[in-house]
Amino acid sequence: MRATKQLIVLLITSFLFACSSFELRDANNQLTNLYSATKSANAIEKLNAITGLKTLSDDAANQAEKNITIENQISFYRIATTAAWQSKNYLTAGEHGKKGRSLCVSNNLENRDCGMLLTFPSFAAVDELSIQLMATDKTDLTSFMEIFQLYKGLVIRLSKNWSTIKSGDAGPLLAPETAKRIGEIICEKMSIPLRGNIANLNTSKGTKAFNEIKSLFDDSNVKMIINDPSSNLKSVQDKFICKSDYFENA
Amino acid sequence: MEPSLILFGIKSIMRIKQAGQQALEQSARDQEAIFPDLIAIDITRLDIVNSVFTLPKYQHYVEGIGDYVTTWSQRHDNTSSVDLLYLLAVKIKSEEGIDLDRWLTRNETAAGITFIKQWSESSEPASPLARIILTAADIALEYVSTNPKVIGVGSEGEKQLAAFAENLSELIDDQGNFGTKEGLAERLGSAFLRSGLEAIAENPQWISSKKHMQLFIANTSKPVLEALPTSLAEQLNYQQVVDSLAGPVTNAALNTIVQNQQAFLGDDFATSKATGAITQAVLVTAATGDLRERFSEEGLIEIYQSVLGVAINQPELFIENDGTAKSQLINNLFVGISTELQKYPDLSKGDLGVKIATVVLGSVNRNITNFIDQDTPWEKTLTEMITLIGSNLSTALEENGSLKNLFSNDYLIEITRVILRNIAATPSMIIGNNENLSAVMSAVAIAMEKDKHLLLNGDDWIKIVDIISYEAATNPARLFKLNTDDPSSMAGLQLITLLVDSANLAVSDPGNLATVLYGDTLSEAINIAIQLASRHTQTILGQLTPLKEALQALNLLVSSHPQQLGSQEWLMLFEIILTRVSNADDEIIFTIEQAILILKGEQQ
Repeated sequence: MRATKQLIVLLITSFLFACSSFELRDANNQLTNLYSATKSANAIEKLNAITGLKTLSDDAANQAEKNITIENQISFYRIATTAAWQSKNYLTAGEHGKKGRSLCVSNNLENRDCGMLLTFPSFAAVDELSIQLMATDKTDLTSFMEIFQLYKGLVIRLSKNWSTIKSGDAGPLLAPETAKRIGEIICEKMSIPLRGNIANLNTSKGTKAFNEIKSLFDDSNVKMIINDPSSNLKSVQDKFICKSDYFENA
Repeated sequence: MEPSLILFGIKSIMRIKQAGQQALEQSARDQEAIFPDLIAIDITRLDIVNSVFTLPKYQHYVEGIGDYVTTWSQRHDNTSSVDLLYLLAVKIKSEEGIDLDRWLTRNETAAGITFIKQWSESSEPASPLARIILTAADIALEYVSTNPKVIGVGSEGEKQLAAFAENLSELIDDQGNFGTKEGLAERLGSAFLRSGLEAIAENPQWISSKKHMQLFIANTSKPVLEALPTSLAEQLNYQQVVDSLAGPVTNAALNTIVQNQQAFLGDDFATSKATGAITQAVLVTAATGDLRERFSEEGLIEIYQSVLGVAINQPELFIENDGTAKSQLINNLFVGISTELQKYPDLSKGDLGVKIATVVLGSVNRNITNFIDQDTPWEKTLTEMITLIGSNLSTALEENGSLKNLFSNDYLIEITRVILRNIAATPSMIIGNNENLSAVMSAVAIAMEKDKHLLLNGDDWIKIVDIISYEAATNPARLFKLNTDDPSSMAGLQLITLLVDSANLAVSDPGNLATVLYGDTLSEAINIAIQLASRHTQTILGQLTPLKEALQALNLLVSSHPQQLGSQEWLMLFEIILTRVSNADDEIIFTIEQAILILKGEQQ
């Protein structure tokens, strides 16, 4: 009986009200579906998904600008940022992220959307670098080190955001998922010279890249995440040290 | 029906519509949202093949008459070539006990899509349904109170700093359309605004010229904004550096301006342009290079302020004839200084190198005409001076480890200051080359190395450095003329070495317990020796062997008669010995009786 009453109220209100809420819901659903499609093994499906994400990013940004509710604007910017990131329009992701984030700051909001707007431009930049890195000859340490420094800057930038993410009002998975990706940058992406120069294993320890990663673990902001039990980054550090030891003795 | 009730009914429907819409919107906003995975980077077989066969150890397989030369050349076009080379690499490395296959394994990827909730449990707002119920309850309460006026909702606009916004748009973009530079422009603008307010608060007497300030800010902020890179990763890095440095840098700039108002507020605008050019150069160079890794923030600001000091006195060094910044020069200056300091790790401890560099910059600033030579860029001369001083002090400390304990950074900085004061005060000493500075630095470094027993303390060394640098500056070709193949052969240095060696010998002799040749006495002896040798160079230097014997005899004489002879007597007798040497007199060794007569003035 109670459930029926609730349904009636929702139906009445749905009938009465404007369409922007449906557009937001649609946009979010589209984002999820298109993102899933980017993981498809079918190349055409993948390409279509990326094209769809680009359109979604533009549409969501337009909606954000038209909308009068701050919270809706923020949500649309989150969708626009994520869609731009996933369609590889990294600069656009940065711009949408910045606009959405400024609304969060001026309205003192720290929910999930605001947390994502804070960190997603940096994660988009990480992907931008990863694509660049994949096109780089991994034996060319000079080129790698330039990318490496930019990765390092992004890790420090992300770790500076940690306390905001941690103390915000977002769902409980936001902080550990953020930390997990920070760990992935350090341990998987920045460690490429350690893994890439396989023939050089015996000299991996003590190389500039190795020392830089070690020094990153000493950065006060990164340390704060490492020492936070909920981040699980301590295990990333241990894994890195452990891997390096393995390389040293291989 | 009561008209008021009809009115209330209409308003209630409107309010519940509004609440319902808000509820639906909230429900849409609070849907779970995806948190995308990062792009995984795989190590491919080609990567492994490249990394193995580019090593000299394995190049013979793919070069010259190796069996796989053709396969290697086809590796970018032909996957079977990659596979073949990969198998070869696996075989080679497995014989070395390394399993290459493990490195091909893909990174762990999330099994599914990660969804994140909008709110944590404690922060979750009322559910959409609860909001409608609350609105309904609100309406009911309202009905009871029969006060329809509460429906009206008012709002207040946010106040902005009009002047700041106006100034910002005027300086950055006429259209007010900043695009991707918007945030950076705002932060730069606020850094200027805050620094300006702080400077005025701390120096209420400060009267700034609006035109000069505008020019300075425009010369700083516009190029910084225009230098924003095009890739997102670089942009974020750039913004991060600018965000953290803009405040301290603008503070330092305005403080320098406050301290140099007279120069800054002159008739022409060159100083404003130069300070603006340097300010933007330090921000851009720090953001695009690894300057921040080499300097601490304090160190960078200290160098920056010293360079500003030079610019305030000589703005034309930093701007072209057409009024634009000599950007490359400024960039080279900062990078050059940091690169030179990087070569000497000892100098980076506690920003010692930075202090030395600022002393050098200060010296350049005070004696600018001595440093400007049409044939040699002044910034090159400056970085060479830093290298010269850094390398010599480093070597001296390296060669004589005990000195590290003796010298605090303050002593080393003071030594640098004393040398530069003497050298730079003499016109044309630095121009073209650093020969005189090289000579002084070599003499100081070598002399320091000789003092193995630390007979001289930091203050003594400062006196000696003063004596050496003064003599080198006054008579450059005499006692301290550098022979780069054999720096120890400098005449003045031979004399100092003779005295320090003699003192070392005296202090190591267990039978010579009452030696006085250390500390003040030794530094004064060096002073006397250098002054006399400067006047009688050839005769004194031609008699170094007898002089050495006379010194040993004098040390023994004084330490054997401590009741009659002490430090003062030693110095008087030493001066007489040197005078006799300069007069080519053979009688330079005394008995105690002769010494007493000489000291009483009864014998010449």
